[in-house]
Amino acid sequence: MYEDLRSSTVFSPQTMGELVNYKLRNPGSVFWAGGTYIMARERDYPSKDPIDIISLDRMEELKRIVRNDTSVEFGSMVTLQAVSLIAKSFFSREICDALSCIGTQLIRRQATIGGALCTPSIKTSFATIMSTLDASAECRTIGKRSLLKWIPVEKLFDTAGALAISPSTLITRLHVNECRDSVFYFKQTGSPMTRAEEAVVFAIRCKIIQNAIVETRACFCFPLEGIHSSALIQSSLTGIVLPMNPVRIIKLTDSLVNEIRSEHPGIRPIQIEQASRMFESFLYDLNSQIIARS
Amino acid sequence: MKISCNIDGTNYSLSVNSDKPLLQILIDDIGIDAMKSICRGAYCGNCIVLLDGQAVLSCLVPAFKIQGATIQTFDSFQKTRFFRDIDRAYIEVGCIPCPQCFASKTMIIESILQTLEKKNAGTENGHLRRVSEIESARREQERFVIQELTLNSCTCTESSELAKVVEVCLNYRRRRNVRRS
Repeated sequence: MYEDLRSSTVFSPQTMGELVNYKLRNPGSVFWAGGTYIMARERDYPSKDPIDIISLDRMEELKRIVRNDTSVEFGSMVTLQAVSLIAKSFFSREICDALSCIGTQLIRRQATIGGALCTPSIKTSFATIMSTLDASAECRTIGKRSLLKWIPVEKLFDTAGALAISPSTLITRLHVNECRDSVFYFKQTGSPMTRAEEAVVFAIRCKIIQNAIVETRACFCFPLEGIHSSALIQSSLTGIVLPMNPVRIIKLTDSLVNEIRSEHPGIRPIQIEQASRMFESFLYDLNSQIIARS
Repeated sequence: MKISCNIDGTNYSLSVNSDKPLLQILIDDIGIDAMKSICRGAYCGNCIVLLDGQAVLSCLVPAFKIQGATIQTFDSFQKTRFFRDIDRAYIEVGCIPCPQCFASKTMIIESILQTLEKKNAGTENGHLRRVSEIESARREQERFVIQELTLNSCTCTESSELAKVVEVCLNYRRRRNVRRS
């Protein structure tokens, strides 16, 4: 049935040197990490124009996890399942729960960090969580002169939500600081992989010192539009003493809705509604926690 | 691309395109009719196979990743005692999935059981646990099972009932392991 089709050439390098050499000789080849995204969307088998594949499966240096005193570095081929299993030792319970909410175990076993950050048309929950945690990715641009750059995860996407790194750039490591003493809240409706046009992911991290919110970092992910890191909310929330007045919650939510509408005009009304409800729910949760404590 | 692998206990040497999905290899080249998938990679969860003992969605696995691997489909899995455990548990709980998703849900349950057995083997180290700890572990397990079962979108059975199936099945396997030791 498919006899006349040319098969894709698969190259499985074991070292970075081999990878760079191959990529320089075949600039059109694509990196293949776990394959969960490529197999599901990009291609439709049998494709008439087969692409050359660089499978990163055998690159041991991309599978390393290095832990320092205050931070951890994951190789880009570490699976999301491995991250969620070992996260207990350097993240709070809420962050571990959020990491284990990404897809199901079957998907997490196959999906990798590099793949989850580099999906070109959708933004994943993993990227949202990592943006909230101020993670940065080491990007190696492969060319005659290799360039190494650390880029914050949220800067991997431009304002329109497209992937801002070139196809010849490879994410090699992800650097995340340990995070145990912060409040972390994560909510997701719909699946970014299967229902990208409806899904919304919300993650927020902050510290509460003497009932006051400090060091806030909030990210909304609209899979087709991009990750919205709300500067307005971050600055408005910082310094607020809990519990908050419900009127203030409504005002903050309204300003969030206006901000999202003006920055991302393509977002559906249902997504905006969900985002505002998630944000409200987070603030009411905080209120109830503080009231219960006192 | 030449690929040699073991599918349901038979060694095959296949000449296929390197990026051909495993699902299509199983249907077109091996002729396994029991594989049902209509989604073409949209996570319908109906094409689960065991690749080197681990459950995977066969539509997401390209041919070049199965070089030298052992693949077990539902056809051969239903001849094993592991399947009989799950089948007995279905009957005991009174919850049997519909024919469309029976194979898929059974394979997902097998994958869950493998994980839970590994997890339990790591935690059961002779410590006496408090009732509250046992309760919270049970709740966490149920949440995990329900989350895993979302992979299959068929609504013929309730997730809470399938969580009971998993629990019953775990008990069967635990008892068998005790008898053996």
